[in-house]
Amino acid sequence: MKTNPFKFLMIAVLSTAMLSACKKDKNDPNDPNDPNEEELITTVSLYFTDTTGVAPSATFTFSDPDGPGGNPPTKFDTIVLQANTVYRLSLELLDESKNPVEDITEEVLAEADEHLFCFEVNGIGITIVRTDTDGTYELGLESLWTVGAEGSGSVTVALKHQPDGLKDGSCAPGETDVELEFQVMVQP
Amino acid sequence: MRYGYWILAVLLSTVAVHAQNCNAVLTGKVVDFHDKSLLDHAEVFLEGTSIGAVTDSAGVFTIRNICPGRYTVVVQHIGCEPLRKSISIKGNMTQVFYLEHHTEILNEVTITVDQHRDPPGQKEEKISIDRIQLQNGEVLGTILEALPGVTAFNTGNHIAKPVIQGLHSNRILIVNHGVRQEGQQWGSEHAPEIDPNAGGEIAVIKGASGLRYGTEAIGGVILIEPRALPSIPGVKGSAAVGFQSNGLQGSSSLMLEGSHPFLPQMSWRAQGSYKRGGNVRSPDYYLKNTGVEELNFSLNAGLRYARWSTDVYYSQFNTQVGIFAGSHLGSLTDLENALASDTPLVSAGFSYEIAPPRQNVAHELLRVNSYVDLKNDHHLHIILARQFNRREEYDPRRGADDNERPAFALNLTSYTADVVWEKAWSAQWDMEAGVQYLRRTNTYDGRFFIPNYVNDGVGAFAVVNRKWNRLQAELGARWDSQFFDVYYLESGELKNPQHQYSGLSSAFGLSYVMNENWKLRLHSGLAWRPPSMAELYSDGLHQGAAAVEIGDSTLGEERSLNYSLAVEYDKGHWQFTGSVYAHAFSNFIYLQPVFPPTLTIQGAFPTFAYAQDRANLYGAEGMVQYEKSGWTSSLSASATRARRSNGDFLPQIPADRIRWQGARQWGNWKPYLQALWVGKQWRFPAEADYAPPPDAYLLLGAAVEYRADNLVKDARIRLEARNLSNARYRDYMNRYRYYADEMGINFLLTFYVPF
Repeated sequence: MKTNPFKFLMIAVLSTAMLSACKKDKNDPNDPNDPNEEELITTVSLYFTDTTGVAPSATFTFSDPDGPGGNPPTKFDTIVLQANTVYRLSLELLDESKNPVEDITEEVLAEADEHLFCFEVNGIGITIVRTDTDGTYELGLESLWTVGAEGSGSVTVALKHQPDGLKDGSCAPGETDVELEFQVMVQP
Repeated sequence: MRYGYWILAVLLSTVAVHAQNCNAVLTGKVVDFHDKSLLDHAEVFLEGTSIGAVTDSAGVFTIRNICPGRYTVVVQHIGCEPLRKSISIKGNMTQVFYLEHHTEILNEVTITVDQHRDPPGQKEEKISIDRIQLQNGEVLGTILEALPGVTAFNTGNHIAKPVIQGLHSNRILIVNHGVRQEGQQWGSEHAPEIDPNAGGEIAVIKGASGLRYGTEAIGGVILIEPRALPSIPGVKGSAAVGFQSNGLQGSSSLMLEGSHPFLPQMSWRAQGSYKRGGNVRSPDYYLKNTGVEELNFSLNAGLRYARWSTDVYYSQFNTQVGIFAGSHLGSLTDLENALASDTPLVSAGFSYEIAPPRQNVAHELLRVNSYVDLKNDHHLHIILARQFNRREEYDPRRGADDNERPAFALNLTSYTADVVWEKAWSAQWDMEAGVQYLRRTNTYDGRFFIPNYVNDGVGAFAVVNRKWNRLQAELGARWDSQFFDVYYLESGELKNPQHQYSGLSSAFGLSYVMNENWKLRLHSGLAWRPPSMAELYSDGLHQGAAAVEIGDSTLGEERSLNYSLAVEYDKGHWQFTGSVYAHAFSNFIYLQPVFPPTLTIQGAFPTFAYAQDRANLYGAEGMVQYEKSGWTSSLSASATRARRSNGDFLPQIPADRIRWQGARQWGNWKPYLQALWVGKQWRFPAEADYAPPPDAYLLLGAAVEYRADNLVKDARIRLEARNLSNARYRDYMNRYRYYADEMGINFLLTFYVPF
């Protein structure tokens, strides 16, 4: 059988080209990916307990179950605290777009060396001290809030993601995953 | 076994350099068409081969050792457009070539028609293969910046989108090897997925054009021309190696080509390139995560007979680009902190590591191109192509494994079929007409950015060209219709909206040779594009832009009417070109700020919704060059203005700029000096920007080229220094301008060796 060398080369080139051309094509356009499968933080809850056990415990929440865009947040509570009280704060982060709801707090804890919570107080007498660490630097899932006289103002709660050794104990480096400016009222 | 023998036979036979009958001689003269003067130092060469000659002081050239066959002869002379002629060499022959500013053929040889036609109303500007090779390691957008009036819209140094007449992205059409380039053009950080080393010369046509290729050619067309396959036996090739001191980037490209000794009609080419660079440095600090790694290759094989030719081209482009770590933001506070700081908030040393945020982009093109000469001067050109583009974007995320998984990915598969019929009735009259079909399928993984869709498009066009003595005219029209089937989930429910867009494109061009020194060009064109999927369906936070963008699925087609007028002057040592242009958009798509800002868990974000409005864009550019006894000095300038109907400025319009270049040819040495001044863009939409545009800047550069003919014929060495004064500056057209200074001083060294 006579084989034309040219034909052979063409077939060889074509078939390698077709092989590599076909292998990656997989998705069906009629079956779009559910974007909610991606990790989101939809909900931040703040659990306050009085260190002396006198004032009642209280929980305040921000929640935007469908993530940024789409529907507006469903819940953005005003933090109401008692004057002249020292509170212990525990933070909880959830992804409520998933079923079952995913607990992001655990992931943050597992990668404590890449995360830092930052608090910024505005117009009110509250002192906040982080009480947990990743072993080297503070983390901030747990903190002590020393509340002074009555008044109103705001506290910004931020979570910084600081991977690749960016974490140096300060709030500057990294990317902001959470940044919520809670209104705060301190009652007598 | 039988195949094994044939592989061996093919390899051996192509490697063997054959001298069989290759003794034809082509002699002749190169003459100026107007004053009939003999042109010395004109280059005459057979395209796709290494053989050629330079005319002597009497305008005479001699090319020896030509194998019989059909060649494209290219004649080049400074100040003239290169002349290309297809010529059939059977034995010794003599030929006179007439050069002038508009190509006019006085002989009965036909012009090769597998090149696109130069529109008479628009001057086409080109970058030669040599130039591209000497810029080894650079991306397409940066290489194109050498052309007056072409700038780049950057995201750092490795992502550059070409900007023509102030327009970019979906308003520029890129044609790669005769095929519309299909990628995710809509994104500002999505650069063309093309290796500039893979093709032939690159041509840019400014203004609405490209009837042959379809929609989106509003601002202009960039053509990466196919490189003709060789037609003489033997294996040849070229290699280029590049190094850049800033970012310690190494790059190389290798090309091999040949044709079959017994079947000279059959020829092939294989080409590949690789580069790797690390963190680049601005004058005061390194930019963290700004490395790049890129691996590309292409294969081309074809058959060429007198009446038909066909070739198969396959190319692959793979790049991995780091996104500057200081530019990735989670909230508006992050952005405000970055803006408030003179230096980036993340510091780094030098590293080749590319960590998230990063992009991985692959593009694949398979194309079969056939050309048939029918009877009575009818020609048929058929191009079938398949493209696949995958774009992956990686974000820094929680969970170590998650950094190996893209935050989102887009897969775009495109098929195009083009059939073009060409007919020349006489040297004065010719026509081309054609039909196009395209199908694009897009899917996404991960985060939602644009929905899945299937897009079918059909188009048909016709262009007539008429030449008179001094006047040449072109008139053409095109109709396109595009159908989109869109799929996405809303609260878990499948939505399937459909859209149809259609429109007319047209072109009318005139060129008029007033006298031997002056030439006029006039062009008017209508162009349109369908809205992009991002403009229709974005809904959410655009992390890179720190903004919420909301699409509008009711947007209609964007249409523009474009005019341009150009003059060209050439006399003695002086050359001048100048042009003015205007685009009138009836429904320009832009981002309109929406209040109040959107509240998210990452804070409040400024919010923009896509909208349409009338807009006008106009500008001017010019270049003047003086050349005498080896000295060349040229000055070019460009300016663009753009406003919406309410008088607001349009964003991302390049600032006015002036460029000067001086060069001196000294035997084999050619030193260059360069200065670029870019003004401050104070015409910008203030409410839609985070920071005022940066100040004007002046950049100095120098280069020297050495033609090492004594080592290898045509070998070149180029050493260049950019930002010679190590100036601190930021550019309005670079998305990193909010966060960091541009690159500091950079030395580039390139070796180019043909063999």
